[in-house]
Amino acid sequence: MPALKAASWALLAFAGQLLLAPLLSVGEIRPDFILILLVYLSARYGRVTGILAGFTLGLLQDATGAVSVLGINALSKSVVGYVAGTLNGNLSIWTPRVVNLYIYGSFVGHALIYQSVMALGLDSTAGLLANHMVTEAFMSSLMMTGLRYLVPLVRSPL
Amino acid sequence: MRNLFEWIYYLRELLLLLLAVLISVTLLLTNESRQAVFLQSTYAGIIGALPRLNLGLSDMSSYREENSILRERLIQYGLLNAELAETARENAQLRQMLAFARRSPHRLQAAEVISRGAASLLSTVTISAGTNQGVRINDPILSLEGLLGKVLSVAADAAVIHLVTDRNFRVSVKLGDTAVRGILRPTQAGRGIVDGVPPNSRIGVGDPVLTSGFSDIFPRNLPVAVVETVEDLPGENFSRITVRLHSQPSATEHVFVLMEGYAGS
Repeated sequence: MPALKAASWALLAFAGQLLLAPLLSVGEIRPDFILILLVYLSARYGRVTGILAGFTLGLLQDATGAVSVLGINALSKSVVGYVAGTLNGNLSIWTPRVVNLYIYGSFVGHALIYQSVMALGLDSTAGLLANHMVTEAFMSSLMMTGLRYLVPLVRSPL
Repeated sequence: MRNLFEWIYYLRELLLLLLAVLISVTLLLTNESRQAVFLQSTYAGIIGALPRLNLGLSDMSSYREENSILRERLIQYGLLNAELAETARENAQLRQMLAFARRSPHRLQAAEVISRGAASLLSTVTISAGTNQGVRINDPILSLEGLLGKVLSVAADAAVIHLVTDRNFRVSVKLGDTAVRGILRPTQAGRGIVDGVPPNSRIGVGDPVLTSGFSDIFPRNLPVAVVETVEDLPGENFSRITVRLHSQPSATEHVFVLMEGYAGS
């Protein structure tokens, strides 16, 4: 039952996001466990699932009060679902460099969209915005890299 | 249709992403947070800078509705305009009738044509005057152009008029300023023939045809028609005179009843 399994992992990711992420935050930036889960899901099941999962998980994340702007996570995670879904079927074909480009590129894209929208109307400087983007993308990448050693994408338990 | 489905299936991922983005942005724009307010104002600024795009997309339905209302009003004003034009025409006609009544040496009773009957050929009309207004059988009926007919039957407030254009109508007439007289019998298309006029009577085209007065019904000198052709055929005892009747019953709406004592019982 892939759906049930995915739902279980989603619950776990939400719990981690609510309970663990505040403890691992750097300044205002917290790690995004849901984003990591989404990349695994998309790489495993493809673009369509990635978009649907990204939108749903992002919307739930917004609804749980992780951010104050409803729709921002749904937007950024839908894009990540699409990009990371491209990996489906190509993980064993493409070179690790290309795979990494898609994975970390999706993190950068997520940070770009999320932080840009969040900075709108806040008189944020370009430096601060860039700092937030880099920090978020770095944290997600770091966690993803660590998890990939523990749970490889090609053999994910999802 | 199949190609369309295939195309949609081929682009399903992009379409789904587009849908997700669209919903997300919509959610963002409906927020009340500062970011959402900023996005909303930016969006409004972009749309404001593209009035044509805004005109073509977001207001299409409202413009259609407005267009429908304007069309309805246009039709209403068109009808009103036609009604006003008709009223103006009727007003002018009534003024003419008033002047005609003042000029006429006869006592006249004005009436309105209220029915033209159901027959395919117009031979009678009904007017809105009857015995209550002093109308009697065989009273002459005039239109602004001339003799229209005579009363065939009469009720309290209505009367049936036998029209001068009916083929069974007969009237004694005189032609031009001569003493030549004849009997007018209508033919068709608003024309008639005057019988009993001897040849070489100095009748010319365009001469007026008036009632002769040799009648218990019609007084003399009521305009009836105008001479259209005059033919003197060899060996014939009478000239063949074709006239064009003045009255046009199909277009007449108001008439006068001649109330003086020419009518028989």
